[in-house]
Amino acid sequence: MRSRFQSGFSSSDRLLLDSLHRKLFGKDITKTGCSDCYRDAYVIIVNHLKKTKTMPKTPNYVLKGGALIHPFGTSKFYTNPISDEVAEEHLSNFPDEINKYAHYPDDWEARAAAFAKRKVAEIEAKKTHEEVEKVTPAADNSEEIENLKVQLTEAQEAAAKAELLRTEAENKVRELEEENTNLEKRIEELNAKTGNQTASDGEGVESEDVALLRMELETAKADLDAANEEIATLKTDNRALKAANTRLKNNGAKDTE
Amino acid sequence: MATESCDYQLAADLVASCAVKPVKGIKSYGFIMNYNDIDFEAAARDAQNPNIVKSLILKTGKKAYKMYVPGKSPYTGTKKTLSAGTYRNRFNKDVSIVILDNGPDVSHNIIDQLANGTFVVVLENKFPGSDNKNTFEIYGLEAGLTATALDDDKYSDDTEGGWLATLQEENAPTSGIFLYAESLAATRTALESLVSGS
Repeated sequence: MRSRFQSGFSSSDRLLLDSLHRKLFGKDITKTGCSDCYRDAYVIIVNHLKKTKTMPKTPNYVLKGGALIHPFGTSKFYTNPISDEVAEEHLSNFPDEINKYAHYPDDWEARAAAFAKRKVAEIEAKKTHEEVEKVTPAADNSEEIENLKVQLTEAQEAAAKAELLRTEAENKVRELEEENTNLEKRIEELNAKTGNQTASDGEGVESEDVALLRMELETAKADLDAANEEIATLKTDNRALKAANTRLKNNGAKDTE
Repeated sequence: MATESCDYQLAADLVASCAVKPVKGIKSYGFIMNYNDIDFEAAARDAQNPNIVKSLILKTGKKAYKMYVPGKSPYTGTKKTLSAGTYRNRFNKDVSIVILDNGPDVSHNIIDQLANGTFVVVLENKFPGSDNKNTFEIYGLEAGLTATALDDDKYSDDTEGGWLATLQEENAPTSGIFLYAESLAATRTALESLVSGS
């Protein structure tokens, strides 16, 4: 072709240049009405090939001039260059239209059948996925589960806190009971001492120490009563919290199922 | 051989479109291809109306060529006329093309070929019709267009010293064949791919 660069390209040269230009740049030679246009295209093509050092690959499927592929259910139309996927989808649906193709692989029938199989598998997988989505709770339910989980955690924390308070209260009750016992012993001792003193003095008047001890005793008794009441209240709260905790755990287990 | 009697009966009212008013004439761009390059086996016609070609496909390695005639009345002289026959009437379709050039490339690549070849031409009517199906009309698809006149008048004001080619499809059985592939956009894409070839 180089030898005909000056004298002018033949019609087959021009066809080859057209084809190469389309493959390399994806478009036709812009102006074809003059011999210089093809010379320009020749120079552009040669420079490009020298730079890239690779000839353009011929696609597996090439449509004939004027042939148009319209995949079913779409508004798209395809002409050359056409991808393997589009061609195989078209041929899997319309094998008779192989006459629209200028070039195609020898095993186009097997390829089209494989494509159809892949498509069916994809559709089935999609259906299964949709069914699974239908069975599993929707996004709103998952939000509810999250809320319940948060509530459960909060309740568990509250129960743990209540348990701690209960233990503290029990300890306090024990301490108060011990103190009470000690105080009663002390009162008895003091009473015994006072009796002895009264008998020896013959006056029957309690000393200031005894009065103080009696006051202390009364205060201790009041503390004891208050502690007992607190214990009873805490026990009631504890029972209520345990019941609430059990309910929440049961609900959480049901939702997870 | 099965016998069949053709029933030539009208099937629609003879009316004019009031919504889309007709416009006379043809647009400047057209397409021409060799008759023998057409893959008639791959081409398809509309099942409802055989005067509509849904796909005009060329054979492997073949391509169509673009035509451009400037001016407000390009392809002047393009017409269709009834040709009376002994038993059946047919149509003669004339296409006039001006080539505003007269160099060796034009002479070798176009005129010499037009003189002896058979061709098919697609022209774009200015009037697309209410459903756009009138837009692209095919000439020569049945009997093929052949040259009846090729004039190079050096002093012609019209052709500016270029060529005036008149091609005729003689005795075509169909009065008009239109190219329409699902939509106007798709038809244009198909026409562009005719030029790209394979």
